[in-house]
Amino acid sequence: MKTEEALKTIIATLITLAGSGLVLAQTAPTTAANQKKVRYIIGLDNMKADSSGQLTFQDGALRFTTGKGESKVPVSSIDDIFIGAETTQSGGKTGRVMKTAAMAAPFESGKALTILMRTKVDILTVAFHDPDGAVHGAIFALPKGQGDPLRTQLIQAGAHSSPPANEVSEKSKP
Amino acid sequence: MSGRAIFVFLLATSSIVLPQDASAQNAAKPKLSASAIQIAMVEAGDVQIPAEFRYAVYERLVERVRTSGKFQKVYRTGDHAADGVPDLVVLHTKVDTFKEGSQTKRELVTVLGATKVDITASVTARDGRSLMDQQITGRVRFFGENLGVTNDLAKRITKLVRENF
Repeated sequence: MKTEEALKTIIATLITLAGSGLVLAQTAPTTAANQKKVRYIIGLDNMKADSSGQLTFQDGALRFTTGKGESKVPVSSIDDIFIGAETTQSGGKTGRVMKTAAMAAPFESGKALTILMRTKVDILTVAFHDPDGAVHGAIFALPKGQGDPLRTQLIQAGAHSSPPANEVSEKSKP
Repeated sequence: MSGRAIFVFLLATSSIVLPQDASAQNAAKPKLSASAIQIAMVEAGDVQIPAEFRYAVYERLVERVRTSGKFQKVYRTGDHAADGVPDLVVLHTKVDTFKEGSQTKRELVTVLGATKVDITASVTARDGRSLMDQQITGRVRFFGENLGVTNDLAKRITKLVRENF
């Protein structure tokens, strides 16, 4: 009998551990998915244009964080959200330096880099107003496919937005 | 009079006439003055232009007009603080045409894939009087992404505002 009880305890412990492991495994990607590494283009006060940072949705606000500071937009002040698309150059600043260097390559062979280093991005435009009623438009470049889930998340949290048919801009031209 | 003498005479006369003409133009165009300006949102009308382009032009205009230092205050559209300013002028921008190009084509072929936006920029006084009205074209021809056209436009519009105020 004692052996059976011990066996039951061990199995219960194992099930509990496995279960908690599963829960943890499921939670970890959700947190990671909530944090998006983006390129900020323009529209936020006290943020340097063309800087990279994390775009998160926390405590009823859209937050953009870089190593130097944070800027947040309360969901209640969002008037519209638009998702567009653009084909741009990958690799960030390093990519730009590489392409500039490649321009010196013979027979314009450096142009091959243009084809190799292109990437599609979602352009997220968040139109919002400040406490004085002044209109702002914050623009971010997100990895392709990450714009729509974030938009949905913001709308579910109470942000205003136009109907989807009007908001998708013309598809990007590669 | 020899041909050479005539040529020298004509050259000398034109050099006297041209500066007078330029100064006459400057004198005919007095500078406008206002302590504050409000930047209105870019109007698209019937033109199909992605929202990010409209907002990017608007934001870059606010930034550039502020740094130009021509006005004590630069207000955004909708700002209630602008309601009580007596000599407020409003900068309106309306998109006339928009052609989205391609960064890849531009960098590969150079003569293809330019992004181009034609805009009518106008400044009105509080009573609705038009103080300035001009068409401006923004382009990205060689390098950079399509959104770069917004920077070119904002630069040109700000230059126009600086010249008039």
